[in-house]
Amino acid sequence: MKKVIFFLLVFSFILLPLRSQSYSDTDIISVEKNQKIIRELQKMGLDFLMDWSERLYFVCNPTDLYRLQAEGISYVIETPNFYPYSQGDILIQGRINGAFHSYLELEADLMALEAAYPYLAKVVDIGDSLEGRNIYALKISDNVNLDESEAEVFFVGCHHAREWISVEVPYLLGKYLVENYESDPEIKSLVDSSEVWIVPLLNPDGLEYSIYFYRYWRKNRRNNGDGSYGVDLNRNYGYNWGYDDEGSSPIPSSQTYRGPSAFSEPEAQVIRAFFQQKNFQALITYHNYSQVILYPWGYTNMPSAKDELLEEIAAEMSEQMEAVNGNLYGYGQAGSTLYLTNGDMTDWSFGIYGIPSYTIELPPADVLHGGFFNAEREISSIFEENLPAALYLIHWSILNF
Amino acid sequence: MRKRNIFFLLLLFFTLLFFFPLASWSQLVLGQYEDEAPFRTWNTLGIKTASSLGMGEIQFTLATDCSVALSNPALLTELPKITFSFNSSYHRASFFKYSIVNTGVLFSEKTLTDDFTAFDFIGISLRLSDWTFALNWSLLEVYDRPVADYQYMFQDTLYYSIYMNQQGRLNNLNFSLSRKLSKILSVGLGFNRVYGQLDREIIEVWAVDRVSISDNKSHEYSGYYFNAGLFLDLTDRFKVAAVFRTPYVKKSESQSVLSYNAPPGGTDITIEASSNDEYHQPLVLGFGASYQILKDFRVMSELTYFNWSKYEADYFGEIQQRDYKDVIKIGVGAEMVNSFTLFNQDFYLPWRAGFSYDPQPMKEPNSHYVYFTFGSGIHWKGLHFDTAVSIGRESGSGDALSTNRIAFSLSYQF
Repeated sequence: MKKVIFFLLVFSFILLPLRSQSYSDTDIISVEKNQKIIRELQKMGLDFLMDWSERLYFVCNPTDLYRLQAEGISYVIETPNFYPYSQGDILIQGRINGAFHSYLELEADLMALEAAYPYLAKVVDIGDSLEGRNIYALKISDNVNLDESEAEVFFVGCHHAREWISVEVPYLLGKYLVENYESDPEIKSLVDSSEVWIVPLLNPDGLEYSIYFYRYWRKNRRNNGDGSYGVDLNRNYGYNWGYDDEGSSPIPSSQTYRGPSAFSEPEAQVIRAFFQQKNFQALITYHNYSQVILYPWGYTNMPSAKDELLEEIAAEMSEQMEAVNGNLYGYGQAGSTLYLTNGDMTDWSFGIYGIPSYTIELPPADVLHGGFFNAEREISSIFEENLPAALYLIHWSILNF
Repeated sequence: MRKRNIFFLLLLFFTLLFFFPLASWSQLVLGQYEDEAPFRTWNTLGIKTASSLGMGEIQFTLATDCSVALSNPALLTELPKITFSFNSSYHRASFFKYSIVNTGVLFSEKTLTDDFTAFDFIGISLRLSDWTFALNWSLLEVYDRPVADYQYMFQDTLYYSIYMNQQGRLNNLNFSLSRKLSKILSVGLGFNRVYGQLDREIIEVWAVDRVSISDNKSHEYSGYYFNAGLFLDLTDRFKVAAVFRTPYVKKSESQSVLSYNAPPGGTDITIEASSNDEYHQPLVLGFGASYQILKDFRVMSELTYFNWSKYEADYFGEIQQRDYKDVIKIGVGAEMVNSFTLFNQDFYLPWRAGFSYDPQPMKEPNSHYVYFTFGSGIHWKGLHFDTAVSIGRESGSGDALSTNRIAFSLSYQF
């Protein structure tokens, strides 16, 4: 009998749970309150917080979120609504990429923005990256769920994976617009009269590789089949694609490899399809580094037919940007200011749709001051000096709609 | 007829599409050699000392030395009253796709190899009355990778360099106890504490501009788990064993320091992060049997199940995609013992051979190792010296990886 008791004790001891709950990196989430979901959640043993306004709130760690996703239960990250929103950076500090966004962090923050301002912000999944990640567009407008006859303006970030700051500026633009809608009459007027579309992260696969493996990764993650990886998304658009081998490269291992054909990459295809559904008046695509504002053409140093207009807008944006922190953003035609580029987004949007299209190369100015690397503390100031340029372009679009 | 052909072709096309793999986050899933992947194989259960290695990695069915406590502590009851054992090994493995190597940054024309020699086990077991106790230390997993070091020189001037190095160890401290419950049944339980570290460093330098980027990540591991087993001495010839290891959380205190340094511009940017990470290690179940065909010849086999489908890696606050499947490792071995007399002393020579099929957990690529193992030794009174070699080849990934190991062990049994 003693032996049997010993045997049972030994095995019951082993079966004690070995895992303790960790409350670091937790998020507050909410789910719709209905009987089916309640039954599912009861099985999962989540840390219940409260029942409010027909939604159930829980404290979840990343594992819980993963399990919710696996069970197909949709949830909204509510954490930002439980802290002063100015603490947003604190929520993402401690991650491997510091205060910059990863794909999942951006996804959560976009959803939180939509949840916090459902009447102004709407997140739309406009397609998938090569590796299956969602490419999100944030729409900001009054009556955000309606497609109104208003000026449409487009902002996009992170064609190039290593340019982490280019995710932050368009994301913060969206956040600024919704947060200041009620308090700032100028913002309200802009948002009421336009539909602003923001894609902060066009190259999520590349960004994740840049975060987890190699900081200076630039392209997407296409396996080119010759041992090399990646197509330069900003050489893959279909206007004068592959015009010469100076503005892009036919060599797969090159940093500016343009891909086997125009729009060969799903990320560029997503943009093309999105533009076919919309009627944009203007756009900015964010990159770094160089601290300049560039406009078409990039494939040649010959000026475009609308050179005067493009220069006038760029000059105004530059002046307003300089007024913020005193940082001068030079401006000029891409092909004659920086270097030749063919198959880039602005040549395509300007060439096909004829709309003012700008590449803003964010700070720093040169490689000795950080190159593609920005300090976390610079995020706010870089955004602040870029804000007037974005607002000006929205304003211009409304006036010319 | 023509319409039918078109219909058939369309049907075939869509049927093929159905079987195509769905898009996945493939480029962040390296396959065999994720950063946290152990050297050689993901499937670790205790340690294989020389006598175990030589018999197709049979490790929990026969009482070879006190390392059995790490896989099946019930076998401790089969050892002499006091057993003292240690083991050292030479490991060599080839790698193709890992970290920044062959994932887009650095290319190699063929697989790269890395090797190390390690003193990897020491332990003692002691029987007191019906109880047997054991205390062991082992090197459970190694996370080393071949160093990647590329320099671009032009006219004797260094323009650019990139360097990557990863090293790591996971140690296991084990305390076990076992007891014979009847003439045929023994049970045992082991408590295991794991601890170790992993450090990865990438340094990139543009020498002309004096710009450098460094990416340092370090992880301090800790965790604990239980393992248990039973041993049935059914007849003089036939014996069976069953084991399990609890799933456990390998915790990691992780640090990351990413920095950009350009002295000519006075630029020194650092992004630091720390995190409490978790790696959810799988449940392991095993079943084995041995049969004594002749007085000096026996065969044995083991099946070991690893519940990798439950594996999770929470890395700096984000759950990494690890699309893993459960696997069953199979080992088959044989041992023949010759004896001879020298200086009026009896000596025994074990001859061992085995085969092991070791499927790796990732679904894509579907990869497995096959090992052929050989071993021998010399036993004189209580002193056992054993040696073994394992030659492994991988297939499925297309990278034709290989892994070899040589082990030496010494046991003294009172």
